[in-house]
Amino acid sequence: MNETELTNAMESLPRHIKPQRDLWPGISSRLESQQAQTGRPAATPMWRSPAIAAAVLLALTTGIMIGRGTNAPPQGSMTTLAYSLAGTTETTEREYQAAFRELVPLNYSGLRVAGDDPESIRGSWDELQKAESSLLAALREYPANSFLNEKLMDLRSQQLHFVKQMVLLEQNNWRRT
Amino acid sequence: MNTSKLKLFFTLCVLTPLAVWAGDSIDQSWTVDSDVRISVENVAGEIHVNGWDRNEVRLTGELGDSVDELEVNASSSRLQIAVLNRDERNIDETVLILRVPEGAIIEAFAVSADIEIAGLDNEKLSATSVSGDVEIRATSQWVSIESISGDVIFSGQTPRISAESVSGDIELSGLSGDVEASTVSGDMEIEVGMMDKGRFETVSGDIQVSTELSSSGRLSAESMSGDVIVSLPAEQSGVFKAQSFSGRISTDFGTVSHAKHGPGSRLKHVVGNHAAEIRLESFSGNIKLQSD
Repeated sequence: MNETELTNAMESLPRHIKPQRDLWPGISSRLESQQAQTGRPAATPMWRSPAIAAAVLLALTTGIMIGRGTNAPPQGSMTTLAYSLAGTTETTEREYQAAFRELVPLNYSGLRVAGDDPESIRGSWDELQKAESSLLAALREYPANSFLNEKLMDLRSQQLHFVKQMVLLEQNNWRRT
Repeated sequence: MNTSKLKLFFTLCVLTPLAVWAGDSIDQSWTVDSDVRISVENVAGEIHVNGWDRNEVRLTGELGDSVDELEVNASSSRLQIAVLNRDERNIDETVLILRVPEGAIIEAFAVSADIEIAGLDNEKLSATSVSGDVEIRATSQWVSIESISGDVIFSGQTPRISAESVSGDIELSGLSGDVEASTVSGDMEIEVGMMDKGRFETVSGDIQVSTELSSSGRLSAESMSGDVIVSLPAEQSGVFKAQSFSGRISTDFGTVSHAKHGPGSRLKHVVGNHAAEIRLESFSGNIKLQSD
C-alpha cells in the first residue's frame, strides 16, 4: 500500500463505532429482580468487569477511530503519520491493557458453556495477545512501517470485536431467567 | 402432561403464547405460508430444522426438566418458539425438531446448543449459537452463520454469506457472489465458484480459499500468524497484491520482491485488465497464491 492509498484507506475508516445495543438495562433489571427475590444484594456482579472493560474499550476505540479520521495528515507526510500512529499506540496501549486485564480471566462468570469451550475461548484470547505482542515488538523496531501500523489497527478492531462477543456471551448468561 | 393433551392445548391457543411443562414430549403442527418467518431459540440441547414440501410446520422434540415454559406465538406468516428455563444455572437439554416449508425464512439462536438446518430453498437464513456448532445444508439467498466457540459449516448454494467464529473452524462450500468470513484462532476452508467480493480474516488460524474472481471482483485475505492460501484459475486476470512482514510469499502469479531495508516481502502483479483485485496480507504467516 502506498502513501496515498494508506491515507485514503484511513480516511475511509468509520468515524465511530456504535455498540449494537445498550447492554446495561437488561442486566440491571435482572439484578434488581434477583435482589428482590432473595432479599439480599445480588451476588458479586461478575459481569461488571467485562462490561466496564467493554465500555472503556468501546470509548477508547471510538476515540482512536475519530482520531484516525480527523487527524489524517495531508498526503506526503507518511513518516509523520506512521510515527503518529505508533505514538497513539504507545499512549493507548496501557489503557487497552488495563481494560483487557479485567476481561482476561474468562472463567470470571462461570460461563455456561459446555466442555472445552472456556478453554478454547481463552486460547483465542491468548492468540490475540500473542499477535499484539509480536506486532508491538516489530513496531518498536520499525515504528515508521506503515504496514505494521495498519496491521495494529486491524488487530485492535479484532480485539474490540472479541470483547463485544464476550459481552454477548455474558449477556446470554442472564437472559431468559 | 401427555402428548395428546399437549396437542389439544396447542390447538386451542395457537395465536397466544403457550405454556407447557418440563419433561414433556412435543408434537404440534401449524398451517403456515410457504415463506413463513420462523424464529427459534433454545438455551441448551439441539435445534434441528428440515425443509419439506408442505405449507406446514411440525414441531417435535423433548423438553428438558428445567424448562419453565415453551413460548410459542403462531400465525400463518410468523412463528416464534422460545424455550424458557426456570433456573439459569441448571439447565437441562431440550431438543427441538422442526419440519418447515422449504421457503421458510429461518432465524435460529442457541446458547449451548448445536444448530442443524437442512433442505431449505429460501430468501434468508440466520443461525447463531454461542458455544454450539452450527451446520447448514441449504440453498438460500442470504446466509448469516455464527458461533463463538463452535464450528461453523455451510454447504449448499448461496450468493451471499457472512460466517464468523472466534475459536471454531469455518467450512463453507457451494458459494458464489459475496462472501465474508472471520475467525480468531479457528481455521477456515472456503470454496467459492464465481466470487464478486470476498473478505477473509483470521488472527492465528489458517485461511484456505479456492475461487475464481469475477471481472471486477475483490478478494482480500488477512491474517496475523496464520497462513493464507488462495487458489485461482491460471487464467485469472486482475491485480495481484500480497504483503507480509515476516512470512514467506510464494506465488504462481508474478514475482515476489523483498524490502531493501528491514524485513518484509511483497508482490504486485497485473494480468489483463485492472478491474479485479486480489489482496493478501499477513504479519508472520506464510502466503501462498497458487493457480489451479
